[in-house]
Amino acid sequence: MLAGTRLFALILAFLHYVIGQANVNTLPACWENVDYVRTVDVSRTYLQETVQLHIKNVDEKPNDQYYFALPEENFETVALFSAKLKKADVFLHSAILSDQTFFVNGKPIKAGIVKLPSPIEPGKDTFIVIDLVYKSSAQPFPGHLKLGETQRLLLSTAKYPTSAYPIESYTLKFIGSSSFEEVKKVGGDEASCSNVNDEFICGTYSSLEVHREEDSISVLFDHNLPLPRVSTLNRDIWASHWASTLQFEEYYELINDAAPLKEGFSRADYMKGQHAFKPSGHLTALEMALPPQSEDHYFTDLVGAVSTFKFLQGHLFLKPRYPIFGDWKYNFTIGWTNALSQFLRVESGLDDTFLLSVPALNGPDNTFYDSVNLSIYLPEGAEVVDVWCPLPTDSTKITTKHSFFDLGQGHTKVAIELKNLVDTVSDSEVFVRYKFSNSSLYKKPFSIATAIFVASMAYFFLKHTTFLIEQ
Amino acid sequence: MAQSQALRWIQLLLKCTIFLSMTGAAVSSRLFSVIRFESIIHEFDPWFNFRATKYLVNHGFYKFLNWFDDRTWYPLGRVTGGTLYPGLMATSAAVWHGLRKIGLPVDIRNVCVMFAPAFSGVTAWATYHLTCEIKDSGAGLLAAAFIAIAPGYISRSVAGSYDNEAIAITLLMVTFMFWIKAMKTGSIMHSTLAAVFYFYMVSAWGGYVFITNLIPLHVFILILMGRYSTRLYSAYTTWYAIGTMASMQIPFVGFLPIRSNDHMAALGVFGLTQIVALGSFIKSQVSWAKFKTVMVVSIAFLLAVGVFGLFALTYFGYIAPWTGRFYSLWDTNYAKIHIPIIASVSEHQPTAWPAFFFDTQFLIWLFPAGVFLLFLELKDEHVFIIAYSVLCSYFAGVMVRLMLTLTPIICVCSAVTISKLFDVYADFSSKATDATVASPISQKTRIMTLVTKLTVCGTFLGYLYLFVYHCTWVTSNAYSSPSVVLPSRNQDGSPALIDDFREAYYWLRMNTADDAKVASWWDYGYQIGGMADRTTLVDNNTWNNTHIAIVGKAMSSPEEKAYEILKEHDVDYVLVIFGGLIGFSGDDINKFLWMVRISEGIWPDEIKEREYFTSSGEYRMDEAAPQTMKDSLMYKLSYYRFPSLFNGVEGTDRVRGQRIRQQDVGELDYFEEVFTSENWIVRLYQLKEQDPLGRDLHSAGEFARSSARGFKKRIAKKPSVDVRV
Repeated sequence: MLAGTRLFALILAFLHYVIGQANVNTLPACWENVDYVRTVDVSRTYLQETVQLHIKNVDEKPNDQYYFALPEENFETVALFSAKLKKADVFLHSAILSDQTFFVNGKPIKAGIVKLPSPIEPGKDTFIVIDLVYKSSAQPFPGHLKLGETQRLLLSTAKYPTSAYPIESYTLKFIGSSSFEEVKKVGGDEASCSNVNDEFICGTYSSLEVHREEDSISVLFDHNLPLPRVSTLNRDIWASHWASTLQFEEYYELINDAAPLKEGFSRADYMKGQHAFKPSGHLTALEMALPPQSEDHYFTDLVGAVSTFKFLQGHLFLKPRYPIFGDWKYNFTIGWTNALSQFLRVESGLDDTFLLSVPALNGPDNTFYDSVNLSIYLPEGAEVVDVWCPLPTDSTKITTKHSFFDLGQGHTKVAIELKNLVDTVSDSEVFVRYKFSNSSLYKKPFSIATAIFVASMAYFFLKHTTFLIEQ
Repeated sequence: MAQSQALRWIQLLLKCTIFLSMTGAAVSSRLFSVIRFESIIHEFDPWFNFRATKYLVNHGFYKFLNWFDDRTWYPLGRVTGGTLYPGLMATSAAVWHGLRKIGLPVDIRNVCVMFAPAFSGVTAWATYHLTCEIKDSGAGLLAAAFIAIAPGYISRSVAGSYDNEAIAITLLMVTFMFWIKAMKTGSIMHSTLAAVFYFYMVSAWGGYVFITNLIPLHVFILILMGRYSTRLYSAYTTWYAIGTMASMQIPFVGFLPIRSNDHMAALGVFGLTQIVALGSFIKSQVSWAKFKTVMVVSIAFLLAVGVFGLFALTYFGYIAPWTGRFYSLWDTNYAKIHIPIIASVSEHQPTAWPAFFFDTQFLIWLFPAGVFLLFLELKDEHVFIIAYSVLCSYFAGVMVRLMLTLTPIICVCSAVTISKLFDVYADFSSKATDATVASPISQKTRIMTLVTKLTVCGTFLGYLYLFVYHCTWVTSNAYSSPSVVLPSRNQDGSPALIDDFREAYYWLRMNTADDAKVASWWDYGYQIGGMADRTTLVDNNTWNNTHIAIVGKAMSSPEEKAYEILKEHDVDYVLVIFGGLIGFSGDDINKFLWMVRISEGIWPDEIKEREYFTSSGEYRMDEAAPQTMKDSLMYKLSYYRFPSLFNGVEGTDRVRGQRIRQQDVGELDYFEEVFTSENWIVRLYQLKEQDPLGRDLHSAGEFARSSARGFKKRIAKKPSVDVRV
């Protein structure tokens, strides 16, 4: 995908060179960044970036579209991109233009677009805040740790921002750790960063060109916490009108990206040092926030049930079979049941049309998801009218799947593929509107009853048939 | 007429109800483990059957028959498709497919877990029909009830005990039922059915040889008793011809029915019946005196030819000689001396006498009475039951696991006894007729008779109640543990589970390379294959004694030598079971002597069992342990870092109650601990890579330790130097 895009970009660049100028994908230089403050929060498994922008219209006409350039290394793993006005705290319309490549100073970049609520007059300015969440590229440093050693992470990121517009003043801040330290490269720039009240501030730099040569900064910081990442989550949700339940089943493939152990895992040291109770890079328990009033919880993995889980006040606490150290994997399945009425509404005026709204995620806090397959199973015979997912989806398919007592075409399945999610989107809801008539509802028990009746009658008549040749 | 019709309906209804409740009792008493733990496959062998079933379901039947498994017996692999009895897996795959067809896509694991309980209901049904043929339907119902809940059978058929025996006992009873019917009537249909179920049995369990020998034995005895008839002829020849041809279709059996000694009796009796049939034909044609001479001459001739032929064919290798397991049936010490691997399995040990009572309770003393009662009548079918009883009583005494085949016949015979007792003592109807006739029996006698009857009936009802109670208790306490998970208690008294096996297996599955090779004692081979999904060196299918001995030798050798042996076999991980921390007695140190013995059998010059005992002949792990023991890999891997949990000097082994010293355990240079489960039951070690500098790993380890020590020393020395200056 990425390679394809790059190749495409190369061909485009070549074409530009041949033809000359005039390209639709060149961004209009209509803005100027008066102040650009980039804050990188490293407190979580993924990186949360907040960019506070003071922008000024330098064009001749009023403009309401601001293009925010995204660094290419993060583009494939962006989980969230949102923008708001600084004063009003209102979300603005914004989107990532994933299938367009732009050229700034002859270099291809990717961009997100922000639409301002009202056009800004030439020469006027405004303040916007961009929130960007993406997969962390921080690596444990040193790469292997002994049991009980404090984990440090090394983050390499662009020192200067990729921006479509010139920047007058630029500041880079790191927050979210108690200690930051810059790792200097041989022959690199002079250190210009310092610790100020739990923040690590680099800059201020002034008068930056539009697209500078890549220059990276490496920051080393304490992060003595596990780095859970779910490489695959299969989230199945079964709606049953007969049982009036909504059943959830989730299969997680979890990996801890923290620093692996230097030597093998020594249970003796682990027990003596009571490391199970100390914060460190290993993961001893997971906490899942479930929808309220959930019942029938279970926790299994590929070799059977895991008995070490507890359900307390709406939260499911899981203790995996073994503490998950850096680079260790753990696949597991959890499930629970909720009342259907919590999630299902009947469309007003239409008796056979229902609106189902299900939470997008119920996973553990502070987790990055590489890929999520969300499947919603509607009763057999249901007809999907509409699916709406607030998150950017890779694909949405409507198929069928045979399950218990499905003698016809099977349960209607809505399969949604998502990529790059973070735990904070668990508030989002996925909506499915579907038609399910009463006749489909009663068809199932009737067909089962008929089948059993026919079988018993057949047995009865066969039993009464005589196969003797002579009496 | 109408009344008798109504009576028949009521009888039918009652019978149906009784059968339903019996099946209910049979199934539910086998569910203890599912309710207490979970729907899980038990023990060791069922894990292989489960894995094979999954393979069958995923790849189809033909792929399954041609399955070459390269994940066991590394590097040899196993021709699994040709060396297993596919009946069990084929049946559950059929059930699985059938359920899917009717809209019930049940997980294959649940099909496997519930397999044995479901089939126990069929066993009860077959036992009922068998006993009906022996006595009457009253005895039949009793026998069915007994077999439904007898612990002797439950021991191998609880939910999750997905083993060949789970289906084999059912098939055994069905085959015998059809055989008795066929033998009584001469019906070709029944003997064909017997043959078909015999084929099914062959496809399911190696114990089919029991049928192969018992039915001919029955026929032989009947012929000796002069009870030959054309019915017997048609039944036996039909059964033998179809059964043998069919059984040869199983890849694992192949040409055994005509080449192995185990099957020769059936063939011999088949020939004998032909001769007897011919004889009886001649007898009906010629005079007695002529016939006598013909008979004597031909018998002598046939005997000579038969015996000589058997010897000759065995000598030239056309017929396989008896197998070791067979010899160990006759001489209980045979295995211990010649094949330690068979003796090392606990279920091959001779039965302790309380086991009979434990497994069958009061049936065990009704059993001989039943046999005696059958002797009094001695119909043709009774001869079968008597032969079965006598043979199986002996076998059950020799090997614990053959209690399983004895249990059904105990149930049948005791049902006959109890039903006979009840026929006599529970018959209160004659009283009324007696009274009306006003016989000369005095009032006193009548009352005494009534009291006697009530006492006998009451006593036996009490026994029956106790039996049910006992069965439930035994099932619940002795036979319902999955052995993969162990029950325990938390500090606050709440129930908890010790799940170390799955913890470690799952760790292996998740965090090691897909093609990693794991060396462990063969007991855990199937579980590693099933749960950890990793390649094993040896497993519970103990076909290659030498290969097992290699692992045994590695475990009993010093670290350096073991490393060499294991490296030669591409091993990545070594798994040992250690119970010393929580007192789990079934651990590897307790099995260690078998490893030593088995490897001594192959390398008597290098491994000597005597060297693993103290000079006074004790098996010890503490400071008195002999040096060979302390040096052995098993000792080191089991106790590595164990003393450091206590005070770093000495640790207490809770299984053996001995103090383990750190100085005896020492350091590991060739192996690295990679995982130990929560209660230390499973310990995993990785073989270290070769040293990059080309040193041997021991000196590399020595160097690392001495440099660490030396560093400390230098720091300590500094002040003294200062003082001098």
